[in-house]
Amino acid sequence: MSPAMSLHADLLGRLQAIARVQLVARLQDDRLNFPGANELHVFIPDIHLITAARRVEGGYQYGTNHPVLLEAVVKSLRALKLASAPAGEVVVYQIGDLFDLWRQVDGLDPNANAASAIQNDQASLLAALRDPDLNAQFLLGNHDYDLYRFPNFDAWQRSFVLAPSVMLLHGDVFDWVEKLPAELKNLVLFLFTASHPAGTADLEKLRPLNNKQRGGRKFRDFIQNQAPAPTGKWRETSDDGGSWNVQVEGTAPKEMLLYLDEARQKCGEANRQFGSALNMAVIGHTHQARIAVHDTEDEFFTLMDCGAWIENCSTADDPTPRPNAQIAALGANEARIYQLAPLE
Amino acid sequence: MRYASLLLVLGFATGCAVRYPAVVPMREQQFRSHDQAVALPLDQEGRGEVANFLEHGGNRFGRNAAPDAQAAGHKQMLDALAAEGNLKIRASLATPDFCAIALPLCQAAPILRKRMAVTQVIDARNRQPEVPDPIAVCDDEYCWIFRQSNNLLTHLVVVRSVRRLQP
Repeated sequence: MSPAMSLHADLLGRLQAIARVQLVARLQDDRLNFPGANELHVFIPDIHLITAARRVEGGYQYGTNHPVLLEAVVKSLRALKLASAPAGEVVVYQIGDLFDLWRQVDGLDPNANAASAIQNDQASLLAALRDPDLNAQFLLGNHDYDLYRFPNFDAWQRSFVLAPSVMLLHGDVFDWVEKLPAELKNLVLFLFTASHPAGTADLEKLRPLNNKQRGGRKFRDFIQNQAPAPTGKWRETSDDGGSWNVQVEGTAPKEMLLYLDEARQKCGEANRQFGSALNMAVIGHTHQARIAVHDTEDEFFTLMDCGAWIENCSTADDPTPRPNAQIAALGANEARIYQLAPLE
Repeated sequence: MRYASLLLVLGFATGCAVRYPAVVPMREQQFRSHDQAVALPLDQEGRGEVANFLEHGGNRFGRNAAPDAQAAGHKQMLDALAAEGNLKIRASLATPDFCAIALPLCQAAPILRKRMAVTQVIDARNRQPEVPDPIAVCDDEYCWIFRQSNNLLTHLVVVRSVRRLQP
């Protein structure tokens, strides 16, 4: 077993020790061009934290799923990272919308008091996520975009390039990028390159777009999906190889291919403009966990949507809503998405 | 038309002055009361160290006493910080009003009234920003930087403020 396959197995073992784990999707393909034998990249998707008081005050009908389990998962990832070093490297990312400033406050929070309040209210979870030994990397989502304004969040980015082939971003850009005039599209394209990472000035320029997406909505009943998000067919976990529940363009239902084309096109543009070799996008934002591929003779492109820890999902076998609680991992040309639940 | 207006807004937004958040830096050794934050409630020794710092104009290594324009208010503050009951806070309130967060302390130390709570505290000695955020509040010349946990103020460093009053 290669070191990175061992890291996949190690991660699974640790998750199984603290949670009921099911496999949502798995893609094993050398064309991912992400062979890194000694590294595993782990993605924690949207969490949308607000304070308990705000949840009551705002009349929100839903909240973050299984926060106690999430904290246990994060601590387990820290242990995995430390145990794997130095032979293996485990990198953990929280891929945006950790804080839900759009639900915590109306309008702009000019001095980060909302973010601090959430952090104080969810102190142990945030302490675990921001543990220096875990050294989690954070993306700015759309619900916590404004954090770019505050020095304590200077390390948070809008995107990462995981060399050589993977673009990691929250995914909200796909809501609106194709509707933009050319001048703005060019500005956004810089998100898709490692050579010109978006700085504070760029984020300030794009803030009106983020604000426009908020559009005065209150999100009282839902954020992304009023009905449980379809995620295809899950199975129990085992370490036998082989892809599972991959949504292939041309055969999968359209709802399972959301943003596959947008991501492929944007990565293609970036490749042409900046000489990169992006052929995979990893996102959150939609709260719909899936792996989707565009697979033709000329091109192989993958979208991994890591799901969420808020709102619900359903499977092809069972329409019963289940709380989203997903985590994804990538390494050794293999991508996996797991669904977690508390042990009975 | 809609996106033409959006372009206009973008242009306008980038042209206008950006309103930056309030930030409190951890000052150099000379201008901070302690290297390691002193535990709260203040005991005699801790109180003495802060008082000495204030009596020397916020210069820890100063040789000359300097008049403290806010001496009365600072005395009330030090008295207040010695009482455990004054350290309770509501840390999960999303407000810049320091007194809304730390009502008991504000009632005992009026110098803090109508002051802003600042959570963006920069301490370059740290590996990364502290979690949970410290809560800082500045009077006319000093910033009181509190560590907090479980809705209690737990530690304090006082620094000479970098802001200057309007002439």
